[in-house]
Amino acid sequence: MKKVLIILLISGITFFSTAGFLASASLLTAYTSKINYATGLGYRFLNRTITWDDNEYSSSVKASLLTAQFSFSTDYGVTLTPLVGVVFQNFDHLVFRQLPLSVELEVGNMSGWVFGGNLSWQAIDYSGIGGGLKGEFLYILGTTNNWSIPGLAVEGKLTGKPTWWEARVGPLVTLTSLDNFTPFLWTGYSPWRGNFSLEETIESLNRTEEKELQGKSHIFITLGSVFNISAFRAKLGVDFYPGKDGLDMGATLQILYSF
Amino acid sequence: MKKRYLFLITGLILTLLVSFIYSNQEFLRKRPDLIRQAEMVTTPRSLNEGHPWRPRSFSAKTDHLLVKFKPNLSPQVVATTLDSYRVREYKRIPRLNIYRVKVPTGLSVEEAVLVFQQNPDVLYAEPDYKAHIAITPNDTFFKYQYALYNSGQEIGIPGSPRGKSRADIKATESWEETTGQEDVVIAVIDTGIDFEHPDLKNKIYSTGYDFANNDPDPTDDHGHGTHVAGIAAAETNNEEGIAGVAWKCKILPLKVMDANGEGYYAWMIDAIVYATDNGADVINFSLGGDQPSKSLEDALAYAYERDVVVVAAAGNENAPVLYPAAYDAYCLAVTATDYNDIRPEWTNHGPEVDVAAPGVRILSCVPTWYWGPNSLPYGYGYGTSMATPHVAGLVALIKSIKPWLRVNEIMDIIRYTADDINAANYPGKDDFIGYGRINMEKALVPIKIK
Repeated sequence: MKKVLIILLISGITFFSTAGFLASASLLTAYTSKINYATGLGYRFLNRTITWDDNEYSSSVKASLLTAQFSFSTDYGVTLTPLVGVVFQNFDHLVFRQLPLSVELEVGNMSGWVFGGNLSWQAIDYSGIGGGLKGEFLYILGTTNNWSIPGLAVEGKLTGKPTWWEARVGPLVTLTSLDNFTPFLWTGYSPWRGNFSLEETIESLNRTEEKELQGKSHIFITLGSVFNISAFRAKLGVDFYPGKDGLDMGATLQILYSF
Repeated sequence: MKKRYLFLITGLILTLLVSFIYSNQEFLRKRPDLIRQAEMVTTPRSLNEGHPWRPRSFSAKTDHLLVKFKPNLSPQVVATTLDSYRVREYKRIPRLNIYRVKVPTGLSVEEAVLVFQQNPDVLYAEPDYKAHIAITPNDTFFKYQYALYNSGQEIGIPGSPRGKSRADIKATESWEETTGQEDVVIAVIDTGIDFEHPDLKNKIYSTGYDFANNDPDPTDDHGHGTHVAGIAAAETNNEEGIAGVAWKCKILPLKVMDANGEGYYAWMIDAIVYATDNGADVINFSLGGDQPSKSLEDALAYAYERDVVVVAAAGNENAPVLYPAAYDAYCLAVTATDYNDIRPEWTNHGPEVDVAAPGVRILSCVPTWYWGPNSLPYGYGYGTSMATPHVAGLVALIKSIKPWLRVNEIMDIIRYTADDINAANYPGKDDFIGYGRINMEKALVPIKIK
């Protein structure tokens, strides 16, 4: 599992972040001599059901991601958007039972960093309906947090750090016939994987639990629209993650300025 | 080019198809209108607060909701609204303006919650869950076992003193987490056991051994061992008798005391080795001597190195801690408290004392011959001998859910989760109750970190 995560992490970051800038140049020039640039801010809220301990238990991760985004697009419909930002994430009700003393997190928001980006390609535009593919990868590196364990006869502390990633990939359908207003439907496969490392220290007692987490739903549907107002482009979307036991939801807001 | 278009369109159709098959087919089939409503929600949120509708969430089989309407709505408007949902039964909880609503016919609880949540006049809607008290066994005499759950009840027959509420080891809360595993074994090294006792006969791991008489029949001819075994692991929730601390764990009886309650160290040493080599996870020593013994210490080390936890009584003479309890490196030394969380003066004391547990007026099993015919085989016991099996039971429960823990870790868990009940006079670890009276809830149930 760790190997897969590391491979995906390295490939994701390589593809979407700093190296993505360089790669984008050669990729884009292969299609066109003109590249359109845009930059702006994005906000995303996600709330996904996660499972752990071999799917025996479940809880949820709630995260707010505030990102700076840099977009490169060509006349051939290829758009690359690396992003970087901060995340506030909530893993409440995650229970660690492998430690000497079992603990349940109710600590509220934890901060962290988000790296990643997305790549889309509108391949066709026929009778006002566009079709293409879009992929997105986000890697979240949580900061290290310390908490004390209440109610013990001696002092005890916990040190925890979450890391996780989410990918979304699938076909993108747009309605291109409307002026300054482009509704879209994006759907497909969306894995979510994470790890929460928690170290418990109570005098001489010391153990660390590495909790492997995964998203309960593996598919997503995003409905939204892009609004073009002069040089500004705003995108609003609502995300759905349907699963056998329920429906998770989230939302995306992005505002870019083209130059 | 045509092939490319065909490929893309086919891919899109297939993806959409798979997406909807994976989603809740039954839910969609019954109420497609609910999905349409959900798509129109602009505030990002997850249904059921992001939690899947697991059976546990609705395990209480509720058929009611709690719905809070906006405060400016009159009862007449609310009544009209509820009527539009075909709600036949409801009741208003005054002051809070919350309505307890029976789920309309044809809707599941989940669907009804969703329907009400879409109404702009509703502040929130949620299932009317059923609460339950912590697990309480149905054993006839459980009400007298203040050590396990002390409600401040009379601790015996009418007219008996009342205990202080929650001066107990928080057993009922911990049983939510575990009641033990059948493959976890408590060796009771004592006067033997009554194999015919109704609360013990189904709890025997193996017939054990009688080292006092050197034969394979450790039948109790004294009564002490049967009482101790019952506290640790009497058959529980069987609608008779008492409850044990470790409901499902088994007992390995080893007799090292004769009918007079005396025995040689050599018999104890034999029993420690036998228990260690024959599947014991925890050894209960509700006995001891006032003389140290290197051989006894070596036997304890033998058990310790094989991850067998030894729990031993401190003694009842208001004197230094007895052996083997005084071998601090290898034993958890247990002293006694009473129904008010106060240490009796007769308990032994010293730096070796690790923890305390109730040991005053403890109801447990006695041999079926003890009171004679037509009497119930139960009785009250006093002493650190009675406190010790409470701790042994807790060790067995920890071993049941965390078999990977080492012996020193289990000992530390029990020490560090104890309640420092004499903190007013002796804050921190002291010579009288050690770290404090054990708290099973803290030792077993996940602690909430805020």
